[in-house]
Amino acid sequence: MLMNDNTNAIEIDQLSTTYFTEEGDVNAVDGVSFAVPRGEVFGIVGESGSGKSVTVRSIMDLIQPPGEITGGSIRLQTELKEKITSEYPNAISGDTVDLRKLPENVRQWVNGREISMIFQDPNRSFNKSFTVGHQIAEAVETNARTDLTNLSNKPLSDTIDSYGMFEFMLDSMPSKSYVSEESMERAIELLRKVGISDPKLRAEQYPHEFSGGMLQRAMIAQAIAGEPKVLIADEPTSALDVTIQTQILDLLDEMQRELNMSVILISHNLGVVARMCDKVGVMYAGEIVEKGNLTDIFENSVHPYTDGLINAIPSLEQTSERLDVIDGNVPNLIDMGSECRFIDRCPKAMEKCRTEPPTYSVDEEHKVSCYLADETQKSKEDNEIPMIKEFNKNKDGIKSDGGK
Amino acid sequence: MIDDRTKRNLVREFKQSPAAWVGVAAFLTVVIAAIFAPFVATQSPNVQNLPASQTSPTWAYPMGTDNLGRDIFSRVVYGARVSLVVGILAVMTSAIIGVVLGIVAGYKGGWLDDVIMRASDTMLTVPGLMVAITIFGVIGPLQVSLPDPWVMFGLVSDRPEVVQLPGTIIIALGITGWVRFARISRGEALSVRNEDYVSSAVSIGAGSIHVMKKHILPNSLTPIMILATIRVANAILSESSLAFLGFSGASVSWGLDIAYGREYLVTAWWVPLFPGLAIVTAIVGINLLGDVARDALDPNLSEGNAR
Amino acid sequence: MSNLSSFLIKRLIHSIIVFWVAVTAIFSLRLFIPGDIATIILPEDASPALRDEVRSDLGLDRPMYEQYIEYVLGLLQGDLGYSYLSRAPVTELMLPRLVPTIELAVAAMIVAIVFAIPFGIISAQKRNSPTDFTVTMGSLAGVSTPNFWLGLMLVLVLGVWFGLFPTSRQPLTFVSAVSILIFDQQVYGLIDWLRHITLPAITLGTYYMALLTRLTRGGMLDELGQLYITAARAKGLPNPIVNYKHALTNTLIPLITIVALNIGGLIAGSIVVEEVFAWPGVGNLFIDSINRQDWPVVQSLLIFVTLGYVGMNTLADILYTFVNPEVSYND
Repeated sequence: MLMNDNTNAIEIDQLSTTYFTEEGDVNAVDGVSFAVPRGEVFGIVGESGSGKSVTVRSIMDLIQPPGEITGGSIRLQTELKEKITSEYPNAISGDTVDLRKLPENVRQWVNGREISMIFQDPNRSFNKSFTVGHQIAEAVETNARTDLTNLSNKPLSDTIDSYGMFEFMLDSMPSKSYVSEESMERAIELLRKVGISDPKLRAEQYPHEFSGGMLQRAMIAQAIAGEPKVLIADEPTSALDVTIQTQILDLLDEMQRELNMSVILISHNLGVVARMCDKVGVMYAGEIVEKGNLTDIFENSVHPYTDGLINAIPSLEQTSERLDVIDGNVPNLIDMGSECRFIDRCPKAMEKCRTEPPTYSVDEEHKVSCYLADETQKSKEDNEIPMIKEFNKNKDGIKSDGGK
Repeated sequence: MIDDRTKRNLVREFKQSPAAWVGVAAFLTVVIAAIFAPFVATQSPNVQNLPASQTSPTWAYPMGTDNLGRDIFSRVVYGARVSLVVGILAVMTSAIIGVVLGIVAGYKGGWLDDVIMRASDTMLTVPGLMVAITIFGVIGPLQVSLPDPWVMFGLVSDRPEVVQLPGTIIIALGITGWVRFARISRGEALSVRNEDYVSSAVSIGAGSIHVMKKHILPNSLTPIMILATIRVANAILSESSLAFLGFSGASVSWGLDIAYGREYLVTAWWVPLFPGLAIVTAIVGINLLGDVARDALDPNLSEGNAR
Repeated sequence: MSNLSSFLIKRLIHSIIVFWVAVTAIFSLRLFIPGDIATIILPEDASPALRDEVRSDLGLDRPMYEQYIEYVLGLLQGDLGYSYLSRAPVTELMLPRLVPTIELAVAAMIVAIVFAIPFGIISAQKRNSPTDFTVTMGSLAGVSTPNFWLGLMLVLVLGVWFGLFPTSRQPLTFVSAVSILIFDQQVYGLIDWLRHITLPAITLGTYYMALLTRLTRGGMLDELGQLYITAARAKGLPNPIVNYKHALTNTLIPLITIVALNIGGLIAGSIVVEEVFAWPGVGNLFIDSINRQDWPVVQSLLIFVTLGYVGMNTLADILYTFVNPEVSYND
């Protein structure tokens, strides 16, 4: 579909993730597709509950029961390909590896090394009981222990050390610690690289001794420890002060360029998106309703939802309810009919919107799931009276899936 | 008093979790046995039938007999009364003491708070069981005899006319159990006393007692109820331990029967077995119901709470 | 670091005050005791005059506060009083019984911890699986079962029916068993000791095993749902490391305080368990003394337990502040 030869670092194709809850099946991500060329920044925007977070967590294989990835492929350009040609040939797809087809222990190898992620709340993303330096060193150490150049003919699964109760008790002894001296040194270097002064001192400190901005820098340091090809940033600045936000974005910019990373950036802040991204995908109720490059989205948007976001209509600021379906409202994501999901909030809804629209190509990069994109249809339907609904209807608003 | 969301949670709990049903079944069994003891039991628990002594379980004696030929099944049924009554009375007493002290300490603060907190710290230094045993040493086993209403109204015959309760145990458990109630109530009072509705009540001249009664107390009920269920289970276990050790005052009690049966452990193992199973049933029932209640009232509480 | 020292000092002072109040309360039991020592030790037909004489000899006719001060001073010097009933200093009666009780308590705790933590971890990792169900139901049964009854059943099944364990008193202490091992190179002492302590230790430890399992499971589930665990997985840490090093560490830290706080329950439990197994420990002594109205022993035991509890708690609090990096010393 999006096979743009070899310049895509990662391709997501019809990814679907469902949460099988007691109240029903929640299609948190439903057929999401996009590609991120090497060195580019792809932004995902949408309200809380649109499925942004679930999408990237699916990419990272972080989905826990009752959630499960139910379809699609996640194709990554990775050196792992060479290693697994003999053992797992069906995971290879052209020049890429389909991460979904890898067995779990091999898939584990990818995280932190080929793809990395930073989270919104740096304070809760670190373990409060270990020093920051130690935790960054863990990332370094894991990478070092499973470096492909050292593996030669051993199967990948052999390289992952066992670690049970016994090792747990030994770990507190410095000589037997999981983390080696070299990894600690490297961790200190990484701290310096992200602009933390006095890194040696800082490495011995605990997360609560860091300010929010500094801790976010540390998280970035941790994420680039393995020099990943793809970095996912889930609302990296939403929890920070405005002045700090700029610094962090600058840092991300710098690191991205230095390592030539592809970045998937989630944000509900269009200013951040405009500043950082090359391409953007707009998500609503688990689907990408419109995607394209910056101009396509900001100046030539077609989908009414995108319009709405850009024009900062108040509905943007509504916080939707969490999937606390115990409340008794049947959420849309469970009882998905065949209509366009935006129909109840769309100012330009038409009769035909009762059937979900296909994806139209407005331009080479610009795609939209909306009948408004179909110009020939538009002229025919000139006589149809659009149904105008009010904006602030909460009733069928997006029910989130417990993640974003 | 039960709001909609709680009702919905309850329904869901019962629909999904077999544990809830087991809990209800177990608890109801004990309650029915306790209330309707004379009817449920096949004979009086005190009747001796020496020729039939130490028989193993049969149809006539579903749980066998002890060395004096008394029917174990009937004794277990009557034992439920003692356990349940002791549990409820003891917890009610300690709850009243604890909640009053706790709310006063939390709301008023100052030296009252200090004194009450020091007192509770001190009470915790010796385990409740030891204090209870010590109280026994001082007071001795006080027997409280209450007439059995069913027999009094002539609805049933051939059954004991009085219910004998271990008074000292109730007193002892009541006196020692207030601390946890105090702690919880104090916590609630502390968090609630700065709320706006309290300040506005005070500003229009509401007296302290009124505020504590009308505003703080209702909001603290949920955690207090949850604690109470746990404490009843605890009280039943304590009562049986004390009875087993010989510190009772009742004539029929699960703990007592286990102690009697100890001598015959090898020859008539059913004698100590069934009262023990009864205790397990009661406690499991209460615990499961407590879990259900806790989940229904606030599903966000973490699992595995410490007692 | 002065914050730390002032916190420590405050905590110590608090403990001392609480201990002292407890001692006073225990002392004042004397006011409530039915009959006094003179009535107890003299034969029933002794004349009132004789009784008065005995009382004044023993110093019982002096004002309460004088007796109190004398008592406290004695305590500080380690003098626990004298038991007229048993005609021996209380310390002499208590000391030899301490060791068996401590052995039992330690053994029970070890049994509890060794099983509870793995069960709790596995149960949390395999949430809602049959394993989890078994563990959860087992823990529920464990906290719901009266320990004395469990002990009897174990004796019946494992001791009598299967003949695996002896049902008589324990003759050897751990120390003597070990010295037999070292000096005589014989294992029989240790084995004998093990066989005797197994059933009591299991009986006493079951409740704690169940409690700890529930707490470990609950704690692990809580931690595994936290963001830092997801972040740890995101950086590629292998699952065992995430589960053990990260989640387990944060689960165990609060458990320390809970274990310390439950020592009281362990003491109460050992009273009952010692009775069941005729274990020659301090718990048994307590019951005997109450039944014989030997109050000096009773009071001393109460004070001893108080001391132990207050000490444990203070220790646990102090340990906790060192172990938990987030806790500041600005109390």
